[in-house]
Amino acid sequence: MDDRAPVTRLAACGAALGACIALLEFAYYYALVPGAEQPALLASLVLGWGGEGVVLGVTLGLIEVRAAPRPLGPWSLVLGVALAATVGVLAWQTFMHLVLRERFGLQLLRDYAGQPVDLASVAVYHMWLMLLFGGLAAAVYGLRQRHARMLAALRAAELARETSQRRLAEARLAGLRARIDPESLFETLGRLERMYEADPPGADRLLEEVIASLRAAVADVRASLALTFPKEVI
Amino acid sequence: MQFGTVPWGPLFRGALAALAFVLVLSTQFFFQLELYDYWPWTDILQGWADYFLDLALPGGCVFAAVAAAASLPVRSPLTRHAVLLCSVALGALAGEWLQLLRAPLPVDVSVAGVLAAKVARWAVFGVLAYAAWVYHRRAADAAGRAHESELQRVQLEHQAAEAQLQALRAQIEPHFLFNTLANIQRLYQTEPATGRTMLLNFIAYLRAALPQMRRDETTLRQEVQLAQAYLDVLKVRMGERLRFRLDVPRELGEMAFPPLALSTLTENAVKHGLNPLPEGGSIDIAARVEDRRLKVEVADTGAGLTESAGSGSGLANLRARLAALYGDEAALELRANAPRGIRATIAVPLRNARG
Repeated sequence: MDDRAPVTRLAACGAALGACIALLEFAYYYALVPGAEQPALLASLVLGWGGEGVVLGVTLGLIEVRAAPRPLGPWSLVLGVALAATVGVLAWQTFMHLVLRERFGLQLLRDYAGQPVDLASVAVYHMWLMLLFGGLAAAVYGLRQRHARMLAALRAAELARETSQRRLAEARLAGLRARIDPESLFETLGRLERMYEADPPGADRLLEEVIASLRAAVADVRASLALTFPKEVI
Repeated sequence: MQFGTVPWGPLFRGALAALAFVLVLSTQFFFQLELYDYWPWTDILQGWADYFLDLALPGGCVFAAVAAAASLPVRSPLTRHAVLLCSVALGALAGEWLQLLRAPLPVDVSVAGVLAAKVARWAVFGVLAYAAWVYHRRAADAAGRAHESELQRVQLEHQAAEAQLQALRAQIEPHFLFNTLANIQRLYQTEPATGRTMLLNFIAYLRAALPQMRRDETTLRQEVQLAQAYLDVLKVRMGERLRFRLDVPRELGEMAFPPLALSTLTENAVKHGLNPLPEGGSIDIAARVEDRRLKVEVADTGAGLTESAGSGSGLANLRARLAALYGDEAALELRANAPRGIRATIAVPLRNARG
């Protein structure tokens, strides 16, 4: 199994979440920005939110990989989202500001909207939104995992129940097969006793038959019991 | 849902959840750091209260729409998902529209654009929250069914164990009969006259013994009588080759004992112990109480622990029956007897058969 699978999967989920927030933001500021600058605005929004989303997803994924094989509980999920949102937003926004904006002249959302931009206020605003959306998405993710686990547990329980049902049926059958009808037994023994006077060789053959059938009954029951309860009866 | 019955519980919980969500959403206001530079605290709080109301109106509309949609008699799950998600969008649209009536936008801003942006935001929240809720409910449902299934399994296991015990008990009947009949047959072939007496004795003895076999438990006294009858029958054939002594205190007679347990040990002692030896041997049966357990011992001076002695099907069956009846509280031990032979001991919990 691939140990790193949760990291890539959650990174993709984070990217999708970031893109989703970016589109929502874009819809808000769409009307406030001149038409010519809209594609650039969209690009910078997707870059900003998407990057934060990916960092959030990777952090959560690493936490999950670390906790494996135990699943993440609700509290570790909450803590993980808080940590991942804080770290992700701070790291990515610092990168966006100091490298992309200062070095390469990328404009940020508030630049387009014509308001002053400082790192702290952008980071705090992003952190809040990331916590909100990330928390909701993480709740969906955690509950989805829980659902999958519960379904697996349900399947296992159903399987065990069916096994028990089969064991019960087989044990009942074995019990029925071994049961001897006292009436016919005494009738046979009485006939045997009378026959020994009249026809000793015939009586001998009959006794042989009775013994053989009893032996077969024992073997039969033993076999079906051993099938059903391999540990107890061998 | 029946008309006229209002699910107050879920409604109340839903309203509380919606209120909490709007409250959380409204704290966005405090995360605008620019405000703190030139607004006094009172204005910020006032601004937050306004913002909260701005959100509460569409939030309330979304909640009302979802509650109304949830009460629709829609059976198909897929349609239900679609209806509930549509109700989020419609509620948000209505709420934000009311909001615009309450606080109109500047004239140069497109109303449709702002409405679309806000409704989209609510829709994203709605989809995420709805997905979380659906997964939560399905997980709880699966957990409940797994628990139920587990309960049924435990019950079935219990019944299976009982059926196993019954099967084991039923099995000793043919086993015992075929052992004894085989003995009679051998005797008949050598001494026809004695054989016939033995068969008659055996039939009489079976009439008494068979009902006893079908019980879960019998008394030690009955068991000892049965073993003695069995040894008496064999004594006819083996004569001086079989000597036996019974030492069972009278006060232990009414103690509970598994049926045919003693007979099985006695049978084994004769079959695997004395029979192979030309000179035969003796069998001592004794009962005593030790560590609040009833211990019954069958000691023979026969061939001893050979391979066939410990692995007999009768012993395996007895072990299984003891385990099924008493669990760990019962034990069956085979040890070497001095100077030779086997000492077989059954220990069961000391209990009066009637109590």
